[in-house]
Amino acid sequence: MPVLVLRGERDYFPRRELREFVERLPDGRFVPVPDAGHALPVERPDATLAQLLPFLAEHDRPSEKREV
Amino acid sequence: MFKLSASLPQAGDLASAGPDRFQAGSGPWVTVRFSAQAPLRKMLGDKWVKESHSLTVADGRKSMASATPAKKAGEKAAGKVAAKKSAKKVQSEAPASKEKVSKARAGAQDHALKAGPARCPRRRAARAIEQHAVEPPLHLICVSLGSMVALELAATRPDLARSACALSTFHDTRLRSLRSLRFCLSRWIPMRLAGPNRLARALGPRALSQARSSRAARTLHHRLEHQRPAVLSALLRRQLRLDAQRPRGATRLARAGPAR
Repeated sequence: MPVLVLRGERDYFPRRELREFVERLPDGRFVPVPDAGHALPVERPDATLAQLLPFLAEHDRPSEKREV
Repeated sequence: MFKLSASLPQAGDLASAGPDRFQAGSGPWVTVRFSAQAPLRKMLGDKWVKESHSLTVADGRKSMASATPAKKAGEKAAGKVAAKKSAKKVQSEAPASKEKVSKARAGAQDHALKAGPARCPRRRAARAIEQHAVEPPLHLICVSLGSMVALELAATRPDLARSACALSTFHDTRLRSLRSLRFCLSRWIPMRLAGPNRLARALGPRALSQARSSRAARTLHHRLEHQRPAVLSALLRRQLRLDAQRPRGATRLARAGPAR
């Protein structure tokens, strides 16, 4: 399952462990969002949507693997 | 249809009296036919609905508890027995070594945690999504604590959803390390004590959204990073007290800027 993880750069939860966890996922993508804290969709809605919408569009159509 | 237990004899009597309206078999299920012209008595209906609901919910809980395969339950039992044996062995071989015994017990707990049914709310939520998965395509978009459910699903059942978006998530603090848990607690306890509204009030009107330009927010952020929870709570309480003492009308006027 493709996973997109968005994290505000000023979020108070540790970044290193989260990044390591995402790297272990087979299709994980870690995207830090600058100038944002934990309330990411509230603080930077534009940046959140800018990452979210292309990701959803990319995985909305069934891939070749799924068709097989 | 009602699932009945205590009211089953009553349903049997009604079925023998009016087989066109009530049907009761050998099992717990009773079929009732009613209409506007021939309604079901309210008292009876209420009683049966409650009884059927309680029985169905109890069955649902049982099935949720046994959602993990029987093999895993067997593994869990075997793991417990093996761990107990190893703990006893350690005790008999080296009775003075308390560390070894505690390590063996911790190992047993870890094994039981891995193999047992989902006790953690996050895992229970993931299991519930598994059981009630809607038809794909399904995109999971979760924020903060909810995003851990998405990550749990992504790690354990990647076939269920088409994609998962985890916003402002954090790593599993329960299983990984005490260090992470301590880190999160040291930040969450003061935040919880203060509450987001009071914290925002203490920091100023636009502090949370414009934290870069707010000196108070920067200071608090620095303190969140470096101070211990007790110190932080005291600082926050002091800040809140100062904020409460400040004349609000004057602050509002100052924030509103010069009159036009």
